Amino acid sequence: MLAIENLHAQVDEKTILKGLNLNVKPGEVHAIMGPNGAGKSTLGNVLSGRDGYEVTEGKVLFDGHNLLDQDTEVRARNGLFLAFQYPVEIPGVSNLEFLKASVDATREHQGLEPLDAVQFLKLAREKCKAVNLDQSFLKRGVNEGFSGGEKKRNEIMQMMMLEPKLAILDETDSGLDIDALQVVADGVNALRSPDRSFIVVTHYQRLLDFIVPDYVHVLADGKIVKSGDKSLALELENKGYGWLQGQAS
Amino acid sequence: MSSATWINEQIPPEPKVDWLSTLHREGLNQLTDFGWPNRKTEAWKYSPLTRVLKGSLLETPNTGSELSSFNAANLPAVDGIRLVFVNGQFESGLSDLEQLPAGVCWVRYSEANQEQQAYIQAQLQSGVVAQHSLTALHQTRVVDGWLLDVDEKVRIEKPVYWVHWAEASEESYSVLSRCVRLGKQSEMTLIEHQLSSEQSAAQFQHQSVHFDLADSARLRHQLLQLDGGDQVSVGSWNSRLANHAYLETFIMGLGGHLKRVDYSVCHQGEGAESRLDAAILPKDKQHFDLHTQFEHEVPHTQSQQVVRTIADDQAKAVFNGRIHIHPQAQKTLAELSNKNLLLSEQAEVYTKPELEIYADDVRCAHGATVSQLDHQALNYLRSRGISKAEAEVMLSFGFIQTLIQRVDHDVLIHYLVERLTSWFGADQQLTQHLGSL
Repeated sequence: MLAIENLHAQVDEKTILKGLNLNVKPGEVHAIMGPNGAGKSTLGNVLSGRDGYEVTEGKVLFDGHNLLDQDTEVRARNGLFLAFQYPVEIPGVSNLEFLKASVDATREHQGLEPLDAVQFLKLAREKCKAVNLDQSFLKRGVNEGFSGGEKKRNEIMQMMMLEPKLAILDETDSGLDIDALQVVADGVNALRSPDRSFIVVTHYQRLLDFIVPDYVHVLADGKIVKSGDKSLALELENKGYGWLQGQAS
Repeated sequence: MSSATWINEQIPPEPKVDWLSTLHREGLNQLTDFGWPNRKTEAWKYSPLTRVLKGSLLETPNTGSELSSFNAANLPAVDGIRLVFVNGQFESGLSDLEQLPAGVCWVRYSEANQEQQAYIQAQLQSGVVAQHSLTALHQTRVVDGWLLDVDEKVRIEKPVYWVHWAEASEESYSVLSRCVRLGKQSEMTLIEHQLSSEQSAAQFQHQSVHFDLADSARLRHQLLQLDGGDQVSVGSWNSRLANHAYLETFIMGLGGHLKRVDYSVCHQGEGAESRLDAAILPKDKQHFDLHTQFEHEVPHTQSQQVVRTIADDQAKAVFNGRIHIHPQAQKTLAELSNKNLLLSEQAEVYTKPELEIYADDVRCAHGATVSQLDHQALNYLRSRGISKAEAEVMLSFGFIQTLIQRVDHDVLIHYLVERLTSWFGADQQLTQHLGSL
């Protein structure tokens, strides 16, 4: 599904990723943990193709194709989804308009007929319900005036609409209360399938109680310094990251 | 050429209309005082009038509709009382005069009764709030006009729909003056829709409007300046609000070689309230200049102005928004926000919000921003599969969409969205999701 090899990337001429390797197979859930400033968010931004993130070395294959050659929107249409840590507010563009444009573009790319307005609304309302967002949110501007939790649930709602092959959740749990966390996890778990993968970036072990990962990686100073199964997350919770610093060099 | 010489040579002799002769004489005096605007004239600093001077625009008065491809079927299907002007001349044959309800009078200045003529004279002579050379010139040119006189407590159910159609075979100059007098507790919606034939030669439309709202009168005014091409349009809208009167305005400006709107509101009665939303979208080499002047003259009045501009290509947009709080106007609430979006490196915006406050217990806010499209928002849309080009169109449209929703008239909103869609591009792929659902 996703093969990252020796990835180096910089932002504003500052090198953040320094030789990152990661292999994600279909159906797997990988958790990435690590101290602040390790490069966790940078990884998500680089993979999604955000402007300003420059890859200086290494390669990334997504579904067998060179991901780094593709424009942001093409990556998305090919099935890569990034749930943002800080979703942007866009007043004046309604959630519905935005979602319809997004779903239409993705379906067209996949050679599918566009959904008509009735089908689309039905689907959008269903997914809203699944993440416990009131339908009135659909008419509002994208994330406009949403609370932190509502923004995160809106990300999951979009993910459910787009049904990506690979979803990267960038600290989707931060700022969520326990009920919202459950909603987000339910959304992810409902989408888990043998041909869909997840990369869950988080600071806290708590989320991983709800979304049980197959692998846990520790990202420190731009590299993955330790990998293990879900028990590694518990170990990190108890011991912190300090004991791994030596292994980073 | 000095302006006095210019005025003597260029301005045709004053028209002979006896009952308006004082108006004309005063206008000419003012014009001589002001002189013709140049780069140092504050009111016209960013809007050069060279085009008006150089061409034959001023010298050829338009004598009416010599030809017309005007077709009512191309208008939005507004269920309203249509009053049509072609090249500044009222066309009763194209208008729905029979639909005017009882208590509403639509009368030519020259045919108005004595009381009405005295009223009109007073309005034209002292009702212009923001005076400058072009309002003075207008004053010297008015020979006739139209008064809409609405009795007390009359509520006109359907919108009154003024259509201004411009179409002429050669460059010409037309002058139009109108007054709207709303009696106590009367209420109406007025849609002013300016449009032009694509084949029309350049025209200079010079107009003035006076709105006079008596106690508790309510007016919703929608000013749609959608005439394109080579049109020059200069106009001044002046409103007086008595106690608890309410004025709500929506302005949309598209196209034109040079457009200038002076929109002034005088809050003269306690409890008077006004709101202005404007969406201005010049592109190509178009030029749009909006000057607002909101006067708060007595205590307990309110105003709110939201002006948004999107300038593309080599277009220029000018905004000057002035709020003036008089010494006795305590407890005034006045807000002005002007946001500008530049879509090209060559587009220009000149904005100047002004606050002049002489009372000490008021709440006022004003601000202006100029920016380009937000990269983060662009990235967000693209990360969901939306192409960069479509994302740009969606974000630009989003910048003004909330203003358009305030029109509160579905047929009109639909029509405006259609016009905007073609403004944003002929490519249907890029505009298919605008205002949808």
